[in-house]
Amino acid sequence: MNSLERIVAAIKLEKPDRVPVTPLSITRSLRVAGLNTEECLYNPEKMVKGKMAGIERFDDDAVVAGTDLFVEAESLGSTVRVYEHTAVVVDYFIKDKSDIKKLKKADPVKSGRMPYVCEEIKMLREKVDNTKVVVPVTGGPFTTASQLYGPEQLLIATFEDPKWVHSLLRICTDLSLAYWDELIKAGSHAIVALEPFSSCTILSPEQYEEFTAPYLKELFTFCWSKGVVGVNHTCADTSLIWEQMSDCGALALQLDHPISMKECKEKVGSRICISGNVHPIDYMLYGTPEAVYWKSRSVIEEAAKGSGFILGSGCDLNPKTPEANILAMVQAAKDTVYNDDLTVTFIRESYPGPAANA
Amino acid sequence: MAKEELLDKIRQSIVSMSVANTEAATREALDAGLDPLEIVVKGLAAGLTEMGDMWIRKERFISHVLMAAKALAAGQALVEQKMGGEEGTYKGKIVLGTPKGDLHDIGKNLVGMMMRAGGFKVYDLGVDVEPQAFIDKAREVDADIIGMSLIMSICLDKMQEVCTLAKSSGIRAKTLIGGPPTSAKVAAEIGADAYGGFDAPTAVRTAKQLIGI
Repeated sequence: MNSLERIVAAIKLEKPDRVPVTPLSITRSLRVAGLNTEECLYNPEKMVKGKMAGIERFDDDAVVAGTDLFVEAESLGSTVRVYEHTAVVVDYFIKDKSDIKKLKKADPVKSGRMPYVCEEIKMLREKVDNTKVVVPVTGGPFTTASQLYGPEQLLIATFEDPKWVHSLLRICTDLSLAYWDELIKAGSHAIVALEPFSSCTILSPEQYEEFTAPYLKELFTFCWSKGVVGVNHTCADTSLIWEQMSDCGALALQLDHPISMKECKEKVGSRICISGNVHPIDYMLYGTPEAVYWKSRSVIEEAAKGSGFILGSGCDLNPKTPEANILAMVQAAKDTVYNDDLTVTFIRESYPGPAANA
Repeated sequence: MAKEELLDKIRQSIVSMSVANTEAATREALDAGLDPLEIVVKGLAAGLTEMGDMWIRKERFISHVLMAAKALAAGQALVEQKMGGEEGTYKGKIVLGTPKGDLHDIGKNLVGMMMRAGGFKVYDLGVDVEPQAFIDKAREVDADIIGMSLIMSICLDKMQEVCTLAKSSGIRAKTLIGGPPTSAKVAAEIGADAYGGFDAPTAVRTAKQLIGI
């Protein structure tokens, strides 16, 4: 099986040859080619060079296009700067609610970084064709809204002026639909909606139902109508909203480190693929390769049985994550075999050391 | 209305996240001649602390705590008018900020609010703060704690720099860290004195433990 076939099998809850793995080495990959985020953000050729260097070095199953979740907010008017190797919003466009009328008219073909991400996808598909999964990351509508008005202001507005929040979410969703259409035309196999501001650390399950779920449903329904898989990525604690996240039409959930994959698997694992959740800092940045290997195996033991599982880190990796740690995670996945009854067997008893995949 | 009843009304108006009710209840208490400091501690702050406890139990969420904090700020403004700039007493002093490179302030602001509700004097340096600025402010106000909140893991280096400087510069402030990329392991790695947990109420409890109150 190649990587695409392996991940498709996991998503369809069928039998992959082994556990698929996506460490989320997004900006970390660029460093393999000696590049930094600043020089790649507006240069698809360099971005592709970095991403390809990453996938060739780590040999994981998916190559992630784009780097961040601010592309949509930037296109609508918020100011983005690269700060410490990471794109961040430094100025929210909406200062006063009436500014909603002044949001820029964004066109995915020519506004902001949207065309660059589409170009990156086209070039990645030329390189990997259908051997690896090509999957862009995007900002979910609630997250985009938070980056246009500021998270605190938006959260307070959900109580004080929900109607206005919905009108902003409508604008964000309409842009996402147009952008996703271009991402699909460019050749994406799947699309991730990043929703860090929709976790149940921040929103109540009732607010998720009102402000996040309906808009994500539109996006995931749209991309699946084109045969492209939607992925619902929500950071932090999601333990109260797994059912709701699964009902949004995505075919996979990406889950962060504060939750139990075992509990998540028990709750929704029979109907949706789940991915996660090795701690990106405690293990991936600060752990030893051996600790990463064993932690990855324990996550596999918690959630891989029955298929519908992709090993990954809880969130995107710090650009300084040691290469050996990423390789150790990939090794843990490569050391598995799926049996016909969809149980998983490990092909070795002990950590093989960094030499195994060097 | 009895004093306890008036304070309870303020507390409940914070828990129900109502700016209008909090203002009305605070005015009522002030008009009845209640001690302004008591209104803050046993009414307004008690309400926010109760909200924080419900947040830990996953009965309320950050959105609710922010809304309750807005109600608290409205009540506090009325009390401050009455006190005319008179300073209250504090259990401890904390210098707060996000390290250089990190512009996310939602976690820091929540911690600031809960620290104030918990009886701390808070010196908020804002976001994107140079390491030396934490040290200078801590020395200037003779702070008990330097609190740092982080969203972007790439800025852990700067957090570490503050922890190292705090130890080498001879100030007495202890370093307390929090935010999604941090953990007890991270605190040990970068030399912070304590990890404030995954939520703001835990950060307040940890701060109190750090200075022995």
